[in-house]
Amino acid sequence: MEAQLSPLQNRWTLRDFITLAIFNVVMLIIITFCPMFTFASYLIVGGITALLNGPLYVVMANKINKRGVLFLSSIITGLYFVAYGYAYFLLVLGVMGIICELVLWGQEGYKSTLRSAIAYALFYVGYSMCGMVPLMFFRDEYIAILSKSYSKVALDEMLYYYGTPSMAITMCLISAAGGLVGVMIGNMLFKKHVKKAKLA
Amino acid sequence: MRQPGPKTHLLVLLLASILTILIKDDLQVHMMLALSVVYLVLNRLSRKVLPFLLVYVLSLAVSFAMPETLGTMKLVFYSFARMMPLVMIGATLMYSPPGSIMCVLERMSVPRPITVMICILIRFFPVVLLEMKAIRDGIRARGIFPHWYSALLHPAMAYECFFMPLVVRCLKLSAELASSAELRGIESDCARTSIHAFHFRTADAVALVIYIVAAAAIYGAGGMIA
Repeated sequence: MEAQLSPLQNRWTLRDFITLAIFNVVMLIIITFCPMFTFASYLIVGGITALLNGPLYVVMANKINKRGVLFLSSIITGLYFVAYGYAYFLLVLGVMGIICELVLWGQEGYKSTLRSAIAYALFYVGYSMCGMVPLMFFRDEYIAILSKSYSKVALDEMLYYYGTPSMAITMCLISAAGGLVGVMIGNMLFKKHVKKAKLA
Repeated sequence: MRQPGPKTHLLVLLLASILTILIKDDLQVHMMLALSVVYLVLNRLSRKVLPFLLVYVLSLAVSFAMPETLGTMKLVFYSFARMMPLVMIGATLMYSPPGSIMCVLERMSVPRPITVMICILIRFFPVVLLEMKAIRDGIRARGIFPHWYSALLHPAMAYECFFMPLVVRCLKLSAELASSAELRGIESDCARTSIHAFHFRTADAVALVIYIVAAAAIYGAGGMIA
């Protein structure tokens, strides 16, 4: 009986698409302003973004609770960056979105705190990797393009963080930690406020 | 003369994205900004020009005033200024009637859920920013953080005080919007009609040709500068 019901339960309604879009607008605004934290360090930007977006993701995932929430969010975020001229963001985030959905595969994936937290953390690891991927595959061409727009100091600093393996790994770990803590805090706030008010 | 429609705005936005990737020199960015100003004025959005120009000038000024040692922050402000021409073109879509955007996308055979999502993504940026401002004003009015540094002293409380009202507001907005859309027959299978003109007409063709020619000139100017 359960197996017969699940495809219907997993069918997206227009209400779900509207919820996804509204929450993604807020998440994109936070993503846009978080690079300001580079005044402290490049390393923490992904982590801070994940931490701030955590409660929004938890509420959105619990409210929609259907396969594809994180994948569609990845695509929306990727397309947002494509509009700014960073086409490779869409590719990296799209692949990470598929991996995240695989982590959440099965019954009630989005309701499971642990699996949801791992998938969300992976999404932000992917977000941090967006700056590294062009350096991994087209290093010389990418540096040549950047050197025309950015000063040498800025470019050196950027290459130090995105091009050094130890820094890149640290950045990914901070993003993953930010994602895990973000979901944890999000769950606490979800139970304390949203569930109590029966809003989701 | 009729203003260009959402289809033209979408095409111009696509062209502007490509141009942003291709241009390298600061002078080209200034020229692109001037082109975006002209596009906004032609779309009768002259009032919106000044705030965008102010943000552009301030971001550039901050970026140039910063010492070279603050490379990262310089980069953030510079990137912000560089994106301003694109944001200005996006603003024409933000201020287009949602009905006309939906109608155009539906005629382009875009699936309805994607159409709805695109409309919300375009239209809700200013709404959400207003909601954020209202929450901040509410916090101030209640005297929760009396000084500018109070939020820094209690970051966990500031986080909860700001994000929970925002989450609840988003839930309410999505429920209200979904109900309103359902009542207006969003899920109806009938072909959508629109009171707004959405066909590709002379004004659209003229705007598009002018933008393509100007964009090609800006791109060509890069070679002359080099």
